[in-house]
Amino acid sequence: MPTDRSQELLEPGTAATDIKPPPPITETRTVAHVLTEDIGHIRQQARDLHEVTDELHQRSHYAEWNARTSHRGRSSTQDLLNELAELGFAWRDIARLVGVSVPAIQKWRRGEGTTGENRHKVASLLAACDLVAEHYGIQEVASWFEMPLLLGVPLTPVDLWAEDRPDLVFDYASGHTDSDQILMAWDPQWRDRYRSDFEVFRAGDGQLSIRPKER
Amino acid sequence: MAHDLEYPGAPGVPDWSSLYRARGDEVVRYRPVFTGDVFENVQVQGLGQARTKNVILLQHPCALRSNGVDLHPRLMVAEVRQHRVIPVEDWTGHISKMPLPDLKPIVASGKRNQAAFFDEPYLIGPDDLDPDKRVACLSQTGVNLLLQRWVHHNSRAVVPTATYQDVSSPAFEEADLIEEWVEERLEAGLDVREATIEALKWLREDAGGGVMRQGLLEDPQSRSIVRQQLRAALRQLR
Repeated sequence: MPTDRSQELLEPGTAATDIKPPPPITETRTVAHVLTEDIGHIRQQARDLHEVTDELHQRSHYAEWNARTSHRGRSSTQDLLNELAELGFAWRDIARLVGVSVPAIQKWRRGEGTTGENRHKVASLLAACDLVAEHYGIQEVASWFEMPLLLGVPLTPVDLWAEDRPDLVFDYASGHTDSDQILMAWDPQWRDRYRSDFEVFRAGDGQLSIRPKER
Repeated sequence: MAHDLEYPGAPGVPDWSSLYRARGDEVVRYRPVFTGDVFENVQVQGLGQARTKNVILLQHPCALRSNGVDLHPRLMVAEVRQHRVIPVEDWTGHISKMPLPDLKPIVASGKRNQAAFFDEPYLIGPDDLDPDKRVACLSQTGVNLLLQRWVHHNSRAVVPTATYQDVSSPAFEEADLIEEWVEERLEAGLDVREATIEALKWLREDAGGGVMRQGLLEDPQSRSIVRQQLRAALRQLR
Protein backbone atom coordinates (compact mmCIF):
# COMPACT_ATOMS: atom_id res chain seq x y z
CA MET A 1 0.00 0.00 0.00
CA PRO A 2 1.48 3.42 -0.93
CA THR A 3 1.83 5.80 1.91
CA ASP A 4 0.24 9.24 1.98
CA ARG A 5 3.68 10.79 1.23
CA SER A 6 4.29 8.61 -1.84
CA GLN A 7 0.74 9.21 -3.01
CA GLU A 8 1.40 12.90 -2.76
CA LEU A 9 4.62 12.53 -4.82
CA LEU A 10 2.73 10.60 -7.49
CA GLU A 11 0.15 13.36 -7.85
CA PRO A 12 0.97 14.88 -11.32
CA GLY A 13 -0.42 18.34 -10.61
CA THR A 14 -1.89 20.53 -13.29
CA ALA A 15 0.97 21.64 -15.57
CA ALA A 16 3.48 18.81 -15.61
CA THR A 17 1.83 15.65 -16.73
CA ASP A 18 4.95 14.66 -18.71
CA ILE A 19 7.36 15.02 -15.78
CA LYS A 20 8.29 11.69 -14.32
CA PRO A 21 8.07 11.56 -10.56
CA PRO A 22 11.13 10.47 -8.54
CA PRO A 23 11.26 6.78 -7.69
CA PRO A 24 9.40 5.87 -4.59
CA ILE A 25 11.46 5.48 -1.45
CA THR A 26 11.63 1.79 -0.85
CA GLU A 27 12.81 -0.06 2.19
CA THR A 28 15.81 -1.39 0.18
CA ARG A 29 16.94 2.11 -0.77
CA THR A 30 16.79 3.25 2.81
CA VAL A 31 18.87 0.31 3.96
CA ALA A 32 21.46 0.92 1.20
CA HIS A 33 21.61 4.57 2.14
CA VAL A 34 22.24 3.75 5.77
CA LEU A 35 24.77 1.08 4.79
CA THR A 36 26.71 3.52 2.59
CA GLU A 37 26.86 6.03 5.38
CA ASP A 38 27.92 3.43 7.91
CA ILE A 39 30.66 1.98 5.69
CA GLY A 40 31.89 5.47 4.88
CA HIS A 41 32.07 6.16 8.58
CA ILE A 42 33.95 2.91 9.24
CA ARG A 43 36.40 3.73 6.43
CA GLN A 44 37.06 7.11 7.96
CA GLN A 45 37.60 5.45 11.33
CA ALA A 46 39.97 2.93 9.72
CA ARG A 47 41.87 5.79 8.07
CA ASP A 48 42.13 7.63 11.38
CA LEU A 49 43.19 4.43 13.10
CA HIS A 50 45.77 3.82 10.37
CA GLU A 51 47.23 7.27 10.95
CA VAL A 52 47.28 6.77 14.70
CA THR A 53 48.96 3.36 14.42
CA ASP A 54 51.45 4.71 11.89
CA GLU A 55 52.43 7.40 14.34
CA LEU A 56 52.51 4.95 17.23
CA HIS A 57 54.69 2.58 15.25
CA GLN A 58 57.06 5.40 14.39
CA ARG A 59 57.25 6.42 18.04
CA SER A 60 57.92 2.86 19.11
CA HIS A 61 60.66 2.60 16.47
CA TYR A 62 62.26 5.75 17.84
CA ALA A 63 61.97 4.60 21.46
CA GLU A 64 63.52 1.24 20.69
CA TRP A 65 66.18 2.81 18.47
CA ASN A 66 67.13 5.21 21.29
CA ALA A 67 67.38 2.36 23.79
CA ARG A 68 69.51 0.32 21.40
CA THR A 69 71.70 3.37 20.69
CA SER A 70 72.34 3.85 24.40
CA HIS A 71 73.32 0.22 24.65
CA ARG A 72 75.58 0.37 21.58
CA GLY A 73 77.10 3.64 22.76
CA ARG A 74 78.90 1.81 25.55
CA SER A 75 81.39 0.46 23.00
CA SER A 76 84.26 2.60 21.73
CA THR A 77 83.88 4.35 18.37
CA GLN A 78 86.68 2.18 17.02
CA ASP A 79 84.82 -1.01 17.99
CA LEU A 80 81.56 0.33 16.57
CA LEU A 81 83.27 1.10 13.26
CA ASN A 82 84.81 -2.36 13.20
CA GLU A 83 81.38 -3.91 13.62
CA LEU A 84 80.00 -1.81 10.76
CA ALA A 85 82.97 -2.92 8.65
CA GLU A 86 82.22 -6.55 9.50
CA LEU A 87 78.69 -6.03 8.20
CA GLY A 88 80.25 -5.02 4.87
CA PHE A 89 79.65 -1.27 4.80
CA ALA A 90 81.94 0.85 2.64
CA TRP A 91 83.89 3.47 4.59
CA ARG A 92 82.55 6.16 2.26
CA ASP A 93 78.98 5.06 3.05
CA ILE A 94 79.65 5.05 6.79
CA ALA A 95 81.05 8.58 6.39
CA ARG A 96 77.90 9.70 4.56
CA LEU A 97 75.59 7.97 7.02
CA VAL A 98 77.32 9.60 9.97
CA GLY A 99 77.69 12.96 8.21
CA VAL A 100 81.48 13.33 8.27
CA SER A 101 84.32 12.97 5.75
CA VAL A 102 85.99 9.68 4.84
CA PRO A 103 89.33 10.86 6.32
CA ALA A 104 87.54 11.57 9.62
CA ILE A 105 86.31 7.97 9.71
CA GLN A 106 89.83 6.77 8.86
CA LYS A 107 91.21 8.72 11.84
CA TRP A 108 88.60 7.23 14.19
CA ARG A 109 89.47 3.76 12.92
CA ARG A 110 93.05 4.41 14.01
CA GLY A 111 91.79 5.26 17.48
CA GLU A 112 91.81 9.06 17.33
CA GLY A 113 89.23 10.63 19.61
CA THR A 114 85.71 11.57 18.54
CA THR A 115 83.17 13.95 19.98
CA GLY A 116 80.30 12.52 22.01
CA GLU A 117 77.93 13.57 19.25
CA ASN A 118 79.83 11.63 16.60
CA ARG A 119 80.15 8.56 18.81
CA HIS A 120 76.37 8.74 19.29
CA LYS A 121 75.84 8.94 15.53
CA VAL A 122 77.95 5.84 14.88
CA ALA A 123 76.19 3.98 17.71
CA SER A 124 72.78 5.00 16.36
CA LEU A 125 73.64 3.65 12.91
CA LEU A 126 74.65 0.30 14.32
CA ALA A 127 71.53 0.31 16.54
CA ALA A 128 69.39 0.87 13.45
CA CYS A 129 71.09 -2.08 11.74
CA ASP A 130 70.29 -4.25 14.78
CA LEU A 131 66.69 -3.07 14.78
CA VAL A 132 65.89 -3.72 11.12
CA ALA A 133 67.72 -7.05 11.15
CA GLU A 134 65.99 -8.35 14.28
CA HIS A 135 62.47 -7.02 13.71
CA TYR A 136 62.14 -7.34 9.99
CA GLY A 137 64.53 -10.17 9.18
CA ILE A 138 66.73 -8.03 6.92
CA GLN A 139 69.65 -10.24 5.87
CA GLU A 140 72.97 -8.75 4.73
CA VAL A 141 72.04 -5.39 6.18
CA ALA A 142 74.84 -3.43 4.44
CA SER A 143 73.72 -4.76 1.09
CA TRP A 144 70.11 -3.85 1.96
CA PHE A 145 71.21 -0.28 2.71
CA GLU A 146 72.70 -0.10 -0.80
CA MET A 147 69.67 -1.57 -2.56
CA PRO A 148 67.64 0.85 -4.72
CA LEU A 149 64.07 1.28 -3.48
CA LEU A 150 62.83 0.65 -7.00
CA LEU A 151 64.61 -0.81 -9.99
CA GLY A 152 65.97 2.06 -12.09
CA VAL A 153 65.63 4.62 -9.31
CA PRO A 154 69.02 5.50 -7.79
CA LEU A 155 67.68 6.08 -4.29
CA THR A 156 68.72 3.72 -1.50
CA PRO A 157 68.23 3.53 2.28
CA VAL A 158 71.76 5.04 2.49
CA ASP A 159 70.43 8.18 0.78
CA LEU A 160 67.38 8.33 3.04
CA TRP A 161 69.50 7.94 6.16
CA ALA A 162 72.13 10.44 5.01
CA GLU A 163 69.37 13.00 4.49
CA ASP A 164 68.19 12.46 8.06
CA ARG A 165 65.07 10.43 7.26
CA PRO A 166 65.39 7.39 9.58
CA ASP A 167 61.58 7.33 9.74
CA LEU A 168 61.47 6.39 6.05
CA VAL A 169 64.22 3.78 6.51
CA PHE A 170 62.29 2.09 9.33
CA ASP A 171 59.02 2.30 7.40
CA TYR A 172 60.66 0.79 4.34
CA ALA A 173 62.25 -1.99 6.39
CA SER A 174 58.94 -2.78 8.10
CA GLY A 175 57.23 -3.43 4.78
CA HIS A 176 54.16 -1.50 5.94
CA THR A 177 54.84 1.20 3.37
CA ASP A 178 55.63 0.39 -0.26
CA SER A 179 58.48 1.90 -2.25
CA ASP A 180 56.18 4.24 -4.14
CA GLN A 181 54.87 5.81 -0.92
CA ILE A 182 58.42 6.15 0.43
CA LEU A 183 59.52 7.86 -2.76
CA MET A 184 56.51 10.19 -2.67
CA ALA A 185 57.34 11.11 0.93
CA TRP A 186 60.95 11.69 -0.11
CA ASP A 187 60.25 13.79 -3.17
CA PRO A 188 56.84 14.09 -4.86
CA GLN A 189 58.72 14.89 -8.10
CA TRP A 190 60.76 11.69 -7.98
CA ARG A 191 59.46 10.31 -11.28
CA ASP A 192 60.73 13.34 -13.16
CA ARG A 193 63.83 13.70 -11.06
CA TYR A 194 65.09 10.18 -11.69
CA ARG A 195 63.89 9.72 -15.25
CA SER A 196 66.73 9.02 -17.66
CA ASP A 197 66.76 8.88 -21.44
CA PHE A 198 69.95 6.82 -21.22
CA GLU A 199 70.69 3.24 -20.35
CA VAL A 200 73.76 1.29 -19.36
CA PHE A 201 74.92 -1.55 -21.57
CA ARG A 202 78.02 -3.67 -22.00
CA ALA A 203 80.07 -2.43 -24.94
CA GLY A 204 82.15 -4.53 -27.34
CA ASP A 205 85.25 -4.21 -25.13
CA GLY A 206 83.35 -5.73 -22.21
CA GLN A 207 83.11 -2.46 -20.29
CA LEU A 208 79.91 -0.83 -19.03
CA SER A 209 78.87 2.02 -21.32
CA ILE A 210 76.02 4.49 -21.83
CA ARG A 211 73.67 4.90 -24.78
CA PRO A 212 70.27 6.58 -25.39
CA LYS A 213 67.27 4.40 -24.66
CA GLU A 214 65.34 3.14 -27.65
CA ARG A 215 62.06 5.01 -28.05
CA MET B 1 61.18 17.67 -16.85
CA ALA B 2 64.25 17.82 -19.10
CA HIS B 3 67.60 16.97 -17.59
CA ASP B 4 70.09 19.74 -17.13
CA LEU B 5 73.58 19.99 -15.73
CA GLU B 6 73.43 19.15 -12.03
CA TYR B 7 75.12 20.48 -8.91
CA PRO B 8 76.11 19.01 -5.54
CA GLY B 9 73.49 19.23 -2.79
CA ALA B 10 69.73 19.22 -2.36
CA PRO B 11 67.48 21.27 -4.67
CA GLY B 12 68.58 24.89 -4.28
CA VAL B 13 70.96 24.10 -1.43
CA PRO B 14 74.64 23.61 -2.27
CA ASP B 15 76.79 21.04 -0.51
CA TRP B 16 80.29 21.78 -1.74
CA SER B 17 81.98 19.33 0.61
CA SER B 18 80.10 16.46 -1.03
CA LEU B 19 82.26 17.04 -4.13
CA TYR B 20 85.38 15.81 -2.39
CA ARG B 21 86.55 12.58 -0.90
CA ALA B 22 89.71 14.17 0.49
CA ARG B 23 91.41 17.58 0.36
CA GLY B 24 94.80 18.87 1.46
CA ASP B 25 96.27 16.85 4.34
CA GLU B 26 93.42 14.35 4.08
CA VAL B 27 94.76 13.00 0.76
CA VAL B 28 96.72 9.78 1.14
CA ARG B 29 99.49 9.03 -1.34
CA TYR B 30 98.59 5.34 -1.63
CA ARG B 31 95.06 5.78 -3.03
CA PRO B 32 95.08 4.73 -6.70
CA VAL B 33 95.14 7.69 -9.08
CA PHE B 34 91.56 8.29 -10.17
CA THR B 35 89.43 10.53 -12.38
CA GLY B 36 89.02 13.95 -10.76
CA ASP B 37 92.28 13.89 -8.80
CA VAL B 38 93.81 17.36 -8.56
CA PHE B 39 97.59 17.70 -8.70
CA GLU B 40 99.69 20.81 -8.17
CA ASN B 41 102.81 21.90 -10.04
CA VAL B 42 102.58 19.47 -12.93
CA GLN B 43 104.84 20.02 -15.94
CA VAL B 44 102.61 20.29 -19.00
CA GLN B 45 103.50 20.75 -22.65
CA GLY B 46 101.24 23.28 -24.33
CA LEU B 47 101.64 24.87 -27.73
CA GLY B 48 104.76 26.68 -26.61
CA GLN B 49 107.20 26.00 -23.82
CA ALA B 50 106.60 23.46 -21.09
CA ARG B 51 104.94 25.11 -18.11
CA THR B 52 103.90 24.22 -14.59
CA LYS B 53 100.18 24.02 -13.92
CA ASN B 54 97.71 22.74 -11.39
CA VAL B 55 95.57 20.15 -13.16
CA ILE B 56 92.62 17.79 -12.78
CA LEU B 57 92.61 14.32 -14.31
CA LEU B 58 89.84 14.04 -16.92
CA GLN B 59 90.34 10.50 -18.18
CA HIS B 60 87.38 8.21 -17.58
CA PRO B 61 88.02 5.62 -14.80
CA CYS B 62 87.94 2.76 -17.31
CA ALA B 63 90.51 4.48 -19.53
CA LEU B 64 93.12 5.21 -16.87
CA ARG B 65 95.07 1.97 -16.80
CA SER B 66 96.16 -0.69 -19.26
CA ASN B 67 96.83 -3.57 -16.84
CA GLY B 68 95.00 -2.47 -13.71
CA VAL B 69 98.16 -1.08 -12.10
CA ASP B 70 100.07 1.10 -14.55
CA LEU B 71 98.58 4.30 -15.86
CA HIS B 72 98.33 4.80 -19.64
CA PRO B 73 101.34 6.57 -21.15
CA ARG B 74 99.21 9.59 -22.08
CA LEU B 75 96.60 11.09 -19.77
CA MET B 76 94.30 14.03 -20.39
CA VAL B 77 94.16 16.77 -17.78
CA ALA B 78 92.70 20.28 -17.61
CA GLU B 79 94.10 23.32 -15.89
CA VAL B 80 92.76 24.20 -12.44
CA ARG B 81 92.99 27.74 -11.18
CA GLN B 82 91.31 30.28 -8.96
CA HIS B 83 87.69 31.09 -9.78
CA ARG B 84 84.88 32.70 -7.84
CA VAL B 85 82.17 30.44 -6.40
CA ILE B 86 79.55 29.68 -9.03
CA PRO B 87 76.13 29.60 -7.31
CA VAL B 88 74.12 26.41 -7.84
CA GLU B 89 71.55 28.14 -10.03
CA ASP B 90 74.37 28.97 -12.46
CA TRP B 91 75.79 25.45 -12.74
CA THR B 92 73.67 25.02 -15.89
CA GLY B 93 75.93 27.65 -17.43
CA HIS B 94 79.74 27.95 -17.33
CA ILE B 95 79.78 24.86 -19.51
CA SER B 96 83.50 24.95 -20.19
CA LYS B 97 84.31 24.67 -16.49
CA MET B 98 84.03 22.26 -13.60
CA PRO B 99 83.53 24.45 -10.52
CA LEU B 100 85.65 23.37 -7.55
CA PRO B 101 84.37 25.54 -4.69
CA ASP B 102 86.10 25.06 -1.34
CA LEU B 103 88.89 23.10 -2.99
CA LYS B 104 91.18 24.56 -0.32
CA PRO B 105 88.90 24.81 2.71
CA ILE B 106 91.55 26.11 5.09
CA VAL B 107 92.51 29.00 2.80
CA ALA B 108 90.66 32.25 3.46
CA SER B 109 91.73 34.07 0.28
CA GLY B 110 90.21 33.76 -3.18
CA LYS B 111 92.38 30.68 -3.82
CA ARG B 112 89.96 28.73 -1.66
CA ASN B 113 87.63 28.43 -4.64
CA GLN B 114 88.86 27.15 -7.97
CA ALA B 115 87.60 25.66 -11.23
CA ALA B 116 88.86 23.29 -13.89
CA PHE B 117 88.97 24.82 -17.37
CA PHE B 118 88.00 22.28 -20.04
CA ASP B 119 89.18 24.59 -22.80
CA GLU B 120 92.72 24.37 -21.45
CA PRO B 121 93.48 20.65 -21.74
CA TYR B 122 96.90 19.03 -21.75
CA LEU B 123 98.34 15.58 -22.25
CA ILE B 124 100.78 14.40 -19.63
CA GLY B 125 102.62 11.21 -18.76
CA PRO B 126 102.08 9.18 -15.58
CA ASP B 127 105.52 10.17 -14.26
CA ASP B 128 104.37 13.78 -14.24
CA LEU B 129 101.91 12.95 -11.46
CA ASP B 130 103.79 13.13 -8.18
CA PRO B 131 101.70 11.41 -5.46
CA ASP B 132 102.94 13.97 -2.94
CA LYS B 133 101.49 16.77 -5.05
CA ARG B 134 97.97 15.38 -5.17
CA VAL B 135 95.87 17.94 -3.29
CA ALA B 136 92.35 16.61 -3.76
CA CYS B 137 90.41 13.50 -4.71
CA LEU B 138 86.81 13.89 -5.81
CA SER B 139 84.03 11.87 -4.21
CA GLN B 140 81.80 9.63 -6.31
CA THR B 141 79.38 12.57 -6.56
CA GLY B 142 82.23 14.82 -7.67
CA VAL B 143 83.44 12.34 -10.29
CA ASN B 144 79.91 11.95 -11.70
CA LEU B 145 79.48 15.72 -11.95
CA LEU B 146 82.90 16.09 -13.60
CA LEU B 147 82.06 13.41 -16.18
CA GLN B 148 78.67 15.02 -16.84
CA ARG B 149 80.19 18.44 -17.48
CA TRP B 150 83.20 17.14 -19.44
CA VAL B 151 81.01 15.03 -21.76
CA HIS B 152 78.57 17.90 -22.16
CA HIS B 153 81.41 20.27 -23.02
CA ASN B 154 82.54 17.89 -25.76
CA SER B 155 79.22 16.61 -27.09
CA ARG B 156 76.43 18.91 -25.87
CA ALA B 157 74.70 15.84 -24.45
CA VAL B 158 73.51 15.91 -20.84
CA VAL B 159 73.58 12.48 -19.25
CA PRO B 160 72.11 12.28 -15.71
CA THR B 161 74.75 11.74 -13.02
CA ALA B 162 72.78 8.70 -11.80
CA THR B 163 73.65 7.02 -15.11
CA TYR B 164 77.33 7.85 -14.70
CA GLN B 165 77.05 6.40 -11.22
CA ASP B 166 75.97 3.04 -12.69
CA VAL B 167 78.99 2.98 -14.99
CA SER B 168 81.75 4.46 -12.83
CA SER B 169 80.82 3.12 -9.38
CA PRO B 170 82.48 -0.32 -9.87
CA ALA B 171 85.81 1.40 -10.61
CA PHE B 172 85.34 3.78 -7.68
CA GLU B 173 84.57 0.84 -5.40
CA GLU B 174 87.69 -0.93 -6.65
CA ALA B 175 89.82 2.14 -5.87
CA ASP B 176 88.34 2.24 -2.36
CA LEU B 177 89.13 -1.43 -1.76
CA ILE B 178 92.67 -1.14 -3.11
CA GLU B 179 93.24 1.87 -0.85
CA GLU B 180 92.00 -0.14 2.15
CA TRP B 181 94.20 -3.10 1.24
CA VAL B 182 97.31 -1.00 0.60
CA GLU B 183 96.86 1.04 3.78
CA GLU B 184 97.02 -2.14 5.81
CA ARG B 185 99.76 -3.87 3.83
CA LEU B 186 102.09 -0.87 4.05
CA GLU B 187 102.25 -1.57 7.77
CA ALA B 188 103.49 -5.07 6.92
CA GLY B 189 106.41 -3.58 5.00
CA LEU B 190 105.18 -3.74 1.39
CA ASP B 191 105.56 -0.68 -0.81
CA VAL B 192 102.60 0.92 -2.58
CA ARG B 193 103.18 -0.85 -5.88
CA GLU B 194 103.66 -4.27 -4.31
CA ALA B 195 100.56 -3.87 -2.16
CA THR B 196 98.51 -2.61 -5.12
CA ILE B 197 99.52 -5.63 -7.22
CA GLU B 198 98.65 -7.92 -4.30
CA ALA B 199 95.22 -6.28 -3.91
CA LEU B 200 94.51 -6.61 -7.63
CA LYS B 201 95.57 -10.24 -7.62
CA TRP B 202 93.10 -10.87 -4.81
CA LEU B 203 90.34 -8.97 -6.60
CA ARG B 204 90.90 -11.01 -9.74
CA GLU B 205 90.55 -14.33 -8.00
CA ASP B 206 87.55 -16.47 -8.81
CA ALA B 207 84.75 -15.68 -6.40
CA GLY B 208 82.86 -18.77 -7.50
CA GLY B 209 81.07 -19.68 -10.70
CA GLY B 210 83.91 -18.31 -12.81
CA VAL B 211 83.24 -14.72 -11.72
CA MET B 212 86.12 -12.64 -10.39
CA ARG B 213 85.60 -10.59 -7.23
CA GLN B 214 86.32 -7.59 -9.44
CA GLY B 215 83.31 -8.59 -11.55
CA LEU B 216 81.09 -8.81 -8.47
CA LEU B 217 81.73 -5.10 -7.86
CA GLU B 218 79.53 -4.31 -10.86
CA ASP B 219 76.51 -5.40 -8.85
CA PRO B 220 75.87 -3.01 -5.93
CA GLN B 221 74.21 -5.86 -4.04
CA SER B 222 77.38 -7.96 -4.11
CA ARG B 223 79.80 -5.25 -3.01
CA SER B 224 79.25 -5.65 0.72
CA ILE B 225 80.13 -9.35 0.40
CA VAL B 226 83.41 -8.51 -1.38
CA ARG B 227 84.20 -5.97 1.35
CA GLN B 228 83.55 -8.56 4.04
CA GLN B 229 85.81 -11.04 2.23
CA LEU B 230 88.53 -8.42 1.78
CA ARG B 231 88.55 -7.55 5.48
CA ALA B 232 88.65 -11.24 6.38
CA ALA B 233 91.57 -11.76 3.96
CA LEU B 234 93.46 -8.85 5.52
CA ARG B 235 92.91 -10.26 8.99
CA GLN B 236 94.42 -13.55 7.84
CA LEU B 237 97.47 -11.75 6.49
CA ARG B 238 98.15 -10.01 9.82
